[in-house]
Amino acid sequence: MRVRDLKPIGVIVVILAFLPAIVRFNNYYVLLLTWILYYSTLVSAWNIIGGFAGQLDLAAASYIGLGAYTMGTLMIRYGLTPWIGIPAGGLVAVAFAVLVGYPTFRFGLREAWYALATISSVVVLQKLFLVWESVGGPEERYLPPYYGSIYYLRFRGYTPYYYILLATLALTLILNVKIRRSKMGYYLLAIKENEEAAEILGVDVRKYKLKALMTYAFVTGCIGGIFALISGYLHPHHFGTWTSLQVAILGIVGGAGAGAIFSLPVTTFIIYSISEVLRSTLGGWIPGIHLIFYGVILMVVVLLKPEGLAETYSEFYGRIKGALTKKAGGMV
Amino acid sequence: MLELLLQNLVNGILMGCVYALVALGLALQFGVMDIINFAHGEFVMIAMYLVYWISLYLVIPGSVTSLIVAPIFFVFGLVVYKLVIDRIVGTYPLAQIAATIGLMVLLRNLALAAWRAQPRGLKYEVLRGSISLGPVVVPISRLTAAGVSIATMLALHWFLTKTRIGLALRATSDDMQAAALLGINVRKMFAVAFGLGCAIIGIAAAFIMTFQQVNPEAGLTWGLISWIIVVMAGLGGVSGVLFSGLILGVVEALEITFWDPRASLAVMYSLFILILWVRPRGLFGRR
Amino acid sequence: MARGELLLEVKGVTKRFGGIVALDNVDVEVHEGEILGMIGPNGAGKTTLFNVVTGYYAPDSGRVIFQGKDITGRPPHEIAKLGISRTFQIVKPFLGLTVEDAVRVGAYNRLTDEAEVERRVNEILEFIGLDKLRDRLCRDLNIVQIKQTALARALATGPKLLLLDEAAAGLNPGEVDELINLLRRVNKEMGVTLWVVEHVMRFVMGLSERIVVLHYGEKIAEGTPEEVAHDPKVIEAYLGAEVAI
Repeated sequence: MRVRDLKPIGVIVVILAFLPAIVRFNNYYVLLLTWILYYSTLVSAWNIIGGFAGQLDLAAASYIGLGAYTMGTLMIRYGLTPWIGIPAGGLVAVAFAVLVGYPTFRFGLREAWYALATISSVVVLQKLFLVWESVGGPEERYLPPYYGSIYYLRFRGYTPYYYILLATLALTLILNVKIRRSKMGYYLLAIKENEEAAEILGVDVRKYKLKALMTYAFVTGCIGGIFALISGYLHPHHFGTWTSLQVAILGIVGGAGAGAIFSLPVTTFIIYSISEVLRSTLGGWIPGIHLIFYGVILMVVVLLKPEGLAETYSEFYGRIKGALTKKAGGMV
Repeated sequence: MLELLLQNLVNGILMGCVYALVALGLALQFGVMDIINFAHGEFVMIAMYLVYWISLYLVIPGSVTSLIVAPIFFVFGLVVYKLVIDRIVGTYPLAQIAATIGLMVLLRNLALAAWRAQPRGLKYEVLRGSISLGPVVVPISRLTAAGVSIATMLALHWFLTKTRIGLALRATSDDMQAAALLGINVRKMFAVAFGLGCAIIGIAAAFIMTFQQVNPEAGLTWGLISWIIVVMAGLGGVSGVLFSGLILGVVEALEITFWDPRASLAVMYSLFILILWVRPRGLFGRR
Repeated sequence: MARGELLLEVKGVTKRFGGIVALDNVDVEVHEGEILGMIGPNGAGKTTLFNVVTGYYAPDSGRVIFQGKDITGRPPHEIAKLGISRTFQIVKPFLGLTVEDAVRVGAYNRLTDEAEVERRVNEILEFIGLDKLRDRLCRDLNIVQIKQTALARALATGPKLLLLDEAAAGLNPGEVDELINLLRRVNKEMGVTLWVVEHVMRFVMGLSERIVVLHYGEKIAEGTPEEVAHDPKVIEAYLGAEVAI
């Protein structure tokens, strides 16, 4: 069962691996693809808290920023390799997640407050790092330029980062699959559906929400570290509320849920590409057109199918697979 | 120093009343429907723009536009309810939140695209000047705004306790199922609550414009203020909202006096998280 | 534990909500292997008592003792681990999950080994008769199937005691009889003690060996279905309630 589940991941990875070659390693396109991959990975991580546990977490930017600053500061001050710095960033993100997320998982507190608390945390952190002169401050802190070093994971050009993110995406997808097939996955889904019923079936709601939160925060924090490597500097505006919103919107529209594990990278790809096209063509006349686009698709999706698109995508894939197997003459 | 503190405190109290009014609509909607409108701040922002345009084209003082904007916004609330809120009542919390977040993103960026980031201020207004109470200077606009806020809150309190519709609203907010069993059309109550909440926003917006300018970014701040007050007020009714507003106003005043005015937002966000940590049921709730 | 031994003891439980006394010094004994019925007019406190026993509410006073252990005030998931499960008066289905997924959630209560979980899920699905529907989304089930799934997932947790809150509500007489047979099998073949709250008299009288009657939060009668049906206090409680409306 495990191997069969991993097949789609393999397909995705192989296709994505060839993309930079297809665009002839053109810097602009590779950067674009890198960002798409970046968001895909974030969304897949977010799926753990948003899709499985059903919590609308808007703190992704907090974890990204914390991961970035942790990895970056360790590298700048102590010359520490990101191979350690990145997971360290993940741990810092986890600590923060527990701080903000834990009290809101108290019984009876609404999910809406969780969304608000998490997005508030992003703003608080941004202000905090703005005034925290020793680590942050209003000026960019550049990472040391050890280019071409695998020890420091600093490269000129974006292609190596593309593949780093690809590997991260693969790992995150595998994590999703693992959770789906495990007790944790079933428990989270039960929690998402009906907490009260889940409890008397033996589900410790708080413990599992926390587990989901910590897992997602760790991965997102690590991605934050990678982000710092790609952008090459640290700045409080890494704590951007729009990033959190974008991740959540991509997740929801992409069909957050247990059934959508493989559709998420695909839909992220599509939506991000469309928004980039909109931004580059109409962005001059209508500033923020791509943001309006995000707002529109979110509302359309949520109003048409409040229960989520995970099923829709599963059905969609099922039908495509059915059509393909028919064409292949019944050969599966 | 004392004079500065006094001045800021008076300002804070007056602003606190206004904050309470802005949050009142949200509190009403939340109390009745159990839905937090993430786009609330954006509604305030749009109302403020509406006040600006109406005042400009009809050449009337901003404060007077409240008489026009309030009913327009009541209808606006009904429309939004029908198109958006009605569809998500009772579904997954994630969907509910997502829908109003979508609304927020949409409205905010439409406003940015249409009106750019340039702030607009009222051209016509009668409430100018200020009065002196000892060492403290009180702008008439802020005083009026606070007065109107209190008056509106009293009116709403009267409405909720003395009229049939008001009682039906309270019944619905207490226990939806029981209210339905008593023959109350719950969906209609939701629509009324939403419309009413928006109408209150309209009133608030008109008077806020008498002493502030509007730009599309303002939505986030007003939204935050409203959410904080709603959390603090818990289910404590109109008085809970008022007191929470006053507390927020005073905290802000103290913060401006003793620390940094620019950190105001961060302090509010932190206060918000603190309350969620310590008293998630609110400071004034009944439950 | 031998049949007839004391499995669950509710001792002097009182629960207030604001000014309302929902449960007033209630004592109930549930014995190993029996089917205990609980009836009473609406608002008598039956669901409240279930909520106290299963940990959703903590009582203001009194104790709940299960298999000799004091479980008062423990959270529901701990109580599930100890061996009590329940169904709800207002069904709480896992709409987005399949029947099999729902049962699986319950199965993880006691089991960790995936093969064992798989086995238990199949076992329960077959026992209840949901095998053919295992891949159907709970959203797409009819009321009978939803109730069966609720029963199945609760049974999957491996309880010694199962609380059923108005399981027969909304069923026609034929369906009620089927449910009675199913529950008898659960009791006899799976050895699960049942505590059943019900308004449908056909159900509770036909199924229970012993009945407890609640009224305004107090236990007013106890005995066999025969005895309870003729108890003047019980008759008055039901007649009185009707007249009041």
